[in-house]
Amino acid sequence: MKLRYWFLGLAFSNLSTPVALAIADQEVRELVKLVDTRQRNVGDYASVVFIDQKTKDGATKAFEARVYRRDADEKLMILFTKPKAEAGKGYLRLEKNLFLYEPALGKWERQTERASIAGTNSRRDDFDQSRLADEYDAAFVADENLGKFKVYHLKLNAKPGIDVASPIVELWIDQNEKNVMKRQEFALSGKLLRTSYYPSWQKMFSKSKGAEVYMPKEIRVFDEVDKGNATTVALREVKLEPLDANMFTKAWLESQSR
Amino acid sequence: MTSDLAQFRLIGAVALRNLWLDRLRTFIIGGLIAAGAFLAVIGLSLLLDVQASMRASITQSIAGDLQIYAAKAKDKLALFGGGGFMGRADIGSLPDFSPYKDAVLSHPNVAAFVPMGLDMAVLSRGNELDDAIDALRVALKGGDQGIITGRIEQIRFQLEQVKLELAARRLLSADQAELEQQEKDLARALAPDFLAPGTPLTEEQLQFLETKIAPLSGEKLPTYLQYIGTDIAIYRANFPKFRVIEGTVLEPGQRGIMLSRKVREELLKNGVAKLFDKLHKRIVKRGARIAGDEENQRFAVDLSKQYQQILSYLDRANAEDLSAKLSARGISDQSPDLLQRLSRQISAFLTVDDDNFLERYQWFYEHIAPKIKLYEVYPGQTITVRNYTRSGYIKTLPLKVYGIYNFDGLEDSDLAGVLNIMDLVSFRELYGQMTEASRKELEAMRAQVGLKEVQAEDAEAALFGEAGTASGAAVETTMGQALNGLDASQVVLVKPTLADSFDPAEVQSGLALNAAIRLKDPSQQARTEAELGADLEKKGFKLNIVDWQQASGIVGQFVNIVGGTLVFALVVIFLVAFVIINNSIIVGTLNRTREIGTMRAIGAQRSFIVALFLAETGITGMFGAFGGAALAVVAVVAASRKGIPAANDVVTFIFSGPRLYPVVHWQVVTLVPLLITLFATLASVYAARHAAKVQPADATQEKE
Repeated sequence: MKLRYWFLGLAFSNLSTPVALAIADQEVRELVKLVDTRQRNVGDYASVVFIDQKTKDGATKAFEARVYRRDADEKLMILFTKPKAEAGKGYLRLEKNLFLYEPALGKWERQTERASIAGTNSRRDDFDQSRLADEYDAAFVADENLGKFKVYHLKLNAKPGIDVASPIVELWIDQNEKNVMKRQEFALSGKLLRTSYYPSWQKMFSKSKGAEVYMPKEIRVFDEVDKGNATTVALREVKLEPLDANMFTKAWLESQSR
Repeated sequence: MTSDLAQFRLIGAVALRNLWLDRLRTFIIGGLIAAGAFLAVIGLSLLLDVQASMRASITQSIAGDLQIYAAKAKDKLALFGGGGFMGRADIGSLPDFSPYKDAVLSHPNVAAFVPMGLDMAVLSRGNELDDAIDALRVALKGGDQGIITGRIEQIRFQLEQVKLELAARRLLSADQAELEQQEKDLARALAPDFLAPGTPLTEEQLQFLETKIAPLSGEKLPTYLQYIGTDIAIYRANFPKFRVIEGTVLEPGQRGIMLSRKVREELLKNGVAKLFDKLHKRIVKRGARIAGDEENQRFAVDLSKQYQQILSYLDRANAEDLSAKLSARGISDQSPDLLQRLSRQISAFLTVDDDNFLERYQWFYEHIAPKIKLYEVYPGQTITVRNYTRSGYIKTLPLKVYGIYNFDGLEDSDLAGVLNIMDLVSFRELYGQMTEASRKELEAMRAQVGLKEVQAEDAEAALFGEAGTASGAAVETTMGQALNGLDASQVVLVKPTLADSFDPAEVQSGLALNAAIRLKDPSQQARTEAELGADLEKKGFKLNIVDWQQASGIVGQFVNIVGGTLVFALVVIFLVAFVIINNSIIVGTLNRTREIGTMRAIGAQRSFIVALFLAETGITGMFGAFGGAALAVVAVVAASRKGIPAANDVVTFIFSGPRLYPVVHWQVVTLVPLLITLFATLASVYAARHAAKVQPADATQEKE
């Protein structure tokens, strides 16, 4: 499942999700573009991420990690804080290099970009910014209800020649707040692969961007292929203030687990 | 009675006389039967030997006599060369094996119960430049200026090699802009003031080397390590083929791993040494020359191109020393540039043929191997193994390599040599098993985050309905303020908690994926398997119980394949012999019409004729079959003196060693000739009945 290591993606993508309006095609396109824009942050980012995974056979695992990101330099730092067995482990991503720190050894291991993506079973779009408008043609499907909320249902088909992880995406967008509440991804055959819910969002002002950005606070992902597998992601203590440049160094991460 | 005996004697005497009179026919039929008996005795003897060898290979290395695993397994247990995706079979698990252990050990024929788990991990690696920069970091922390200078010199020398590689790449690269940027980065690293001995290096400089320069030296492919986790004490006591050949043994209560010699030789050895070894084995052990042998030639060509695998480990001093030594032994080059000179010298040295190979092989190990890192892992070092746990996340675990082991007699076997052995506690962690403490910790984490559990079926109602958690309409606005003031500069001070030992009692119970069962009397395997199966079922345990052949996967089936092939071959031989014997007797009958007619004319009954013909074949068969069997015994005894060499690594495994030493199986030597005699006699029934139909009048007719 894509979100096995979504914390890697979190830091790159701001949890890429879309928002839309309804009615005319042109308005739908504008809305998808707006979704991309308002989720992108330009600058630094910090958060505490909690990831909870459960599989259909009853296996369960959870992590808590601090995620620090600097988009301008393509830098990412992930420091595991819980559980104890994982505490102190970390990933430092510098450009196309991903370094893994093993505190019990006090050693770093450099992995290639390819390894970091394939090795974590995450997908390219996990690491990218939201670029739905560039990659998909959006179409209005219907006005619907999602629980007590009125939503727009959109269908996005990948543009010809564009390499995307899911060729078909469907979105359900809150008609009032324009936040994505539900997202489904399909294979080219039309087979449903996974369903994600975004029950809460937060709006923050990014000084570096000079505008507001929208971030989900909670994501629930259900695997539709391996039914019963589910992942919950919670983002806490999100901060968009500038981070110290020294944070994106091996020395800084090592200093956290001495 | 007396009359019957007299007739029996008469038939025997006449049959012997006839056989003697028609010596050529007797010799041909007897020879055919002898050849069949020879092949049958040899074939069946070897089959029994191979079965015994395979059994020894498998039962004494990893499988035991029987194996148990969960009944709800999706895949079949396959200890060798099987399983699901990437060799990871889903055989379920035994969450706590102790009740099964107690039940199994209560059977009087069970000697031991060995808990196990089979899985696969990745050992990813950086390149030589990564190692060198890492060593520089360590040296900088240590502060010893001499060591720092040495490290810097080594890196500078490697950077010069990278420069040459980039220049070569310029001719091939499609992305010239990227290449130019790489050359600029390299030029910065090679600038006199960047890596100058005595000049302090900043973190930014080190990071520049690690992120911009190290990747230029290429990437190694990750290594996949198949391993079993087990209770090492019980394992060692019950698997006599396990033998430590380097380092120390993993003791009970220690976290760690024993690497297979084969794995280290094949996957973790310097590429040049590996190619030298392969050629050496084929030339010395198999007698295959380089000239005329396609595979040897391919290895030789590969070898001549691998000079970089030596160069990249050298610092300037070692490089100069090696260049001088190569010049002294007649491989010289006039280039003033050390790198260019040594590259050509090493390349020339690695260009081997039948005349120079053995001498260069020895020279390599004597003069070059000590200067390079021959193996990526040595006993005493710690490696980081990475694995996908069953719940789908990646787990990394540092494990000390205690030693290198072999399965005795299976040193060269690809099949037996792929497994590495680790302690069961580390196995459980890589598998993703949660302890009670970690389960409680997880619950505390969940409670702290405060997310309620939601099922897929009612997610929309739970999240967006009246009772839902959704604030979809009400977006929380924080205006750039951290909710709880996360301070990025705050030191988290997380501490690794991994101990390098554990209480040996931890492996007396708990999770295992499967378990090996060793029997006191392996000849009672089938009966014990049935009894254990019934007993476990009676106790309500839902388990698969399989014998060593089934448990070992495709390799175990090899015995059946070999046996089936042999039996098929023997059946074909017998059918051909049957047709030949039958035909020759019929032809012989036609030639003996006058003789048979005469016997009939003087009062011989038809039954006498039939008995006579059967007796002739029976006597021929008896002499032929036992003669062939006797020859087979001589051949087996001769072969057992030197042993039959294994032609390749697969056969090594089948032979349970580099040679098979066949033994005489007397039951085969006696039973096979008797069966063949019977078979040959039966084969002549038709011909005998045909002969009995000859009329006395036929004896008086002249041949046309």
